[in-house]
Amino acid sequence: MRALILLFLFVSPVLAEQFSAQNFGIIGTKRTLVDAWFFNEGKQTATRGVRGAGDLLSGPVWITGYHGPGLNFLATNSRVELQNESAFDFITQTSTWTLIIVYKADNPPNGIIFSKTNTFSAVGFYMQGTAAAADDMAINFNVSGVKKIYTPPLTKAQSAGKNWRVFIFDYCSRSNKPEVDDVIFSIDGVIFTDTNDGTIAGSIANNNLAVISGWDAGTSTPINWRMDMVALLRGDGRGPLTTPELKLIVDRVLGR
Amino acid sequence: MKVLLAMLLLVGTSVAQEPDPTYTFLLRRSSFTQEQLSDLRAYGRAKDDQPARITSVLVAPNTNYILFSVSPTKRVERDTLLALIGNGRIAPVSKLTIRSVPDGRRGGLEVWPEMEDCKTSPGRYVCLPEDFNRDWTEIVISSK
Repeated sequence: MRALILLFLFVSPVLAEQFSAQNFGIIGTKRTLVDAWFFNEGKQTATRGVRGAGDLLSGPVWITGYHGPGLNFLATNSRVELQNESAFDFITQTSTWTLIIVYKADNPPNGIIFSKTNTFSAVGFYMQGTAAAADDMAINFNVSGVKKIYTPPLTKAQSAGKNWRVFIFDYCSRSNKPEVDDVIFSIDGVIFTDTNDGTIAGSIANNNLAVISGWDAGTSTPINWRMDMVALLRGDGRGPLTTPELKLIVDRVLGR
Repeated sequence: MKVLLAMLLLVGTSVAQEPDPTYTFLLRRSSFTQEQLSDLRAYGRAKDDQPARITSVLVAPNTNYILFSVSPTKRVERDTLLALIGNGRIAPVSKLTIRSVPDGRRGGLEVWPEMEDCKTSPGRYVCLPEDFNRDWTEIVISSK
């Protein structure tokens, strides 16, 4: 009976949203929910976040997701433009924040996953699979044309597969812990590949819309991921997440 | 040759009974007047449950190029697109087909997209040009 109740809880999109709509619902008090998008509409040209809406542009496709419907970002420049721009201004090089994505990838990432640069702007912050990082997952900060690439040790082989996976990027003042499913690939290290020698200073808040998927600088390569949900949380100096906390997130978003 | 490719591209869909594929074309802006672009924008669908099927026009960072996505709904639209391909004014970039089958395990439909482009069918589709993402406003012309 308990198993049935649990099954219903996590298969039901409505309850899943309620679960994650609480500020501290997903991992306790170390992170505050900024917004989450569950892509449960299954149709329409917009998707409703917990706090703000996103517009579906250039051909994301509604598909069968993990919890109900999801979106496939197969088409060139297909993206969700998030309308509440100011909600993401806290993302800087030195702030603490956590990005959680439930996804399935047939191939290694080779496009934008999440950015705060608006469409076609190469200046700002974006996370992508990138050739500059030998197709590994990378995070880019590009301030005033000066770019730094931080490459978490998450290889292409680890990022794609047949199953739905959870990607967690816990960014804490330049240390992070990328995780796919419940395998942690790095605890506190960052492989640092630098395309420029200069040090970046200043804010990356560029007053542009944040984007899920979208334009990949230079190639317009789509991310080609199926996404069931995306959530963004902020840490406000509360430190990096621990391994048990990361595992707790994975268990909760997968309904285990 | 171009006409043959075009026939394969657009006419082939009716033979295979595919469900409303969406085509994306590369347009060179200089080849069209604003009025012609407005006419194209009215092709296909303004509303659909799948946003991929809704006609869209995307101006590239290199403003010489436009990406035009459409699911043609009328014969006249298909004919016009075929003619534009035939005379080289538009080039097919991709074809997106949304497929579905009943899902016996979960109920409802299992839905997924399939894409054909220059990587899967190099003879039928063109890749985006190398300068597609070049923003000309950022180019500095110097006498040095």
